[in-house]
Amino acid sequence: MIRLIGVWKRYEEGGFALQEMNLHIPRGEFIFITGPSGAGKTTLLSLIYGAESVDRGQIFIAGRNITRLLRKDLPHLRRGIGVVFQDFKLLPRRTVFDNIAFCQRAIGVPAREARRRVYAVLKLVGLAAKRNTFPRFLSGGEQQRVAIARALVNRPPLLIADEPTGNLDQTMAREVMDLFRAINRMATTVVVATHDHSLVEYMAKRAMRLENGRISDGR
Amino acid sequence: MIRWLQCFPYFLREALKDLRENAGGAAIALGTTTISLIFLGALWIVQLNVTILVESWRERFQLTIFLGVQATAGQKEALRKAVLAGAGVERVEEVDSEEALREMKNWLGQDADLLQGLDGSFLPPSFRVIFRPGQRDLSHVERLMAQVRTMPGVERTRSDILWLRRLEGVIRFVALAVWTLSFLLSLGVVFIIGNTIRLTLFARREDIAIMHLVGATDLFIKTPYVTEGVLCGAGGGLLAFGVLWGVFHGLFQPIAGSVTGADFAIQAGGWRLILGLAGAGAALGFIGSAVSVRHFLRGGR
Repeated sequence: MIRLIGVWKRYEEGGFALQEMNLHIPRGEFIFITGPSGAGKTTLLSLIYGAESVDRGQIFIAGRNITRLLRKDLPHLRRGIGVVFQDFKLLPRRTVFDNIAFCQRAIGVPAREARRRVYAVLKLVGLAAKRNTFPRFLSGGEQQRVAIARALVNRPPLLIADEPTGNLDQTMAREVMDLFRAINRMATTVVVATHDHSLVEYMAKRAMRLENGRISDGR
Repeated sequence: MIRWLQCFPYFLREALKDLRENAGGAAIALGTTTISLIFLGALWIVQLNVTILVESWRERFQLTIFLGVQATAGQKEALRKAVLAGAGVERVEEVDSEEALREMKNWLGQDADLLQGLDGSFLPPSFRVIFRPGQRDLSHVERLMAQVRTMPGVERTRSDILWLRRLEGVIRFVALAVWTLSFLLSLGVVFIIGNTIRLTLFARREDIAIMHLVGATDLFIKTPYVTEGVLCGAGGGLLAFGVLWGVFHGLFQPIAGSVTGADFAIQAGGWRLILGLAGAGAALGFIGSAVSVRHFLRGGR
């Protein structure tokens, strides 16, 4: 699903975020990327969903070399990747339903089809009853589940999560992880960046440790 | 393109929603656009009427060739043939001294008794040259005047050519002034609408970032904001037309009608002015918003 070959990425302010990174994540895999702050986890994920470009090397997503992607082709890459952030990035003036439906409309899905898909994904994350609620009335765990629903609504084969439990307590974090496990069982490749080792142990999945822009363990 | 058209109701809804939510900014943009377009429309009306006025004078333009008292019938015939062969000439009318006197009396009206006891012998006979409509080109007239001035039997020629030349100069100056001012006002409208859209974009930056993230194309992201700019511009154009129409028919026309006389009525521009102002507003709104959105999105990926 994801293959990195000799990827180098330099921070704008100097120093390397990633150095000679080689990585293969097969389709349907669940993998943790761990490491301390500044290890390059977020940069790695940003490269995978095209928010940043490599300085050197190649990245293949589903067999497609995204380092040669034209700017106009970037939206099509992103439609195949769901992204979840630590701070949820929900729109406060839209309801739960609209936060997700908005993303469907943004890629031109007809209104009726968008409604159907949003209900289905809200059911999956267990928030169908709160569809008309605004994010500020939800708990952190519920907000993160909305963000996951939004990432999943386009039915992407790849789900990326950058510190998705960073703002959640242990119980909520485990709920979110259980949801990721369920999503992974539906053949979605899941990549989670975290510095929380207890979650890695809880999930008992493959983990790869990054340090100073290099894989130090778990290749 | 088909998908874009299918999504257009969504773009329109989003644009109207943004205008509603940013009502203060939108009202300021609409107001300043309206004021700018009122000036623009007023300038167009001025230019239109100056052009119509000069054209109407040009249509009445004649060349008069005064003949010597001793001009022979042969000389007159040769002159008539030469004039009729001239470019743009429709017909030639011969005005003898008695006819000239009658016309003068008509022209003097109530003061015609000044000519009491005079016969027409003091008025020279003449040829009045009438040009074809649309061919009253001053260069034709000048060429013909130069040609006939030296012909036997001709005493002198008279036309309003110098006066018309000056008027044409005035038209050119008015046109230049109108275009220059229009350009400057247009720049102002582009700037105002562009700035309003820039503020909207800033307020919506989180929505836009998420749209990028989920794979929305630039065109899809841009369209609601560009639509908003077009609506602002076109709305300003229509309001400007409404104000101009009200001022023209309510205030200006009743006063102007008594000043200009029956032979010239000031024109308001009609449907061309509506289309012109709404179209110009929409186009300027499009340019302003498109530039803002493009600039904003360039740093957004």
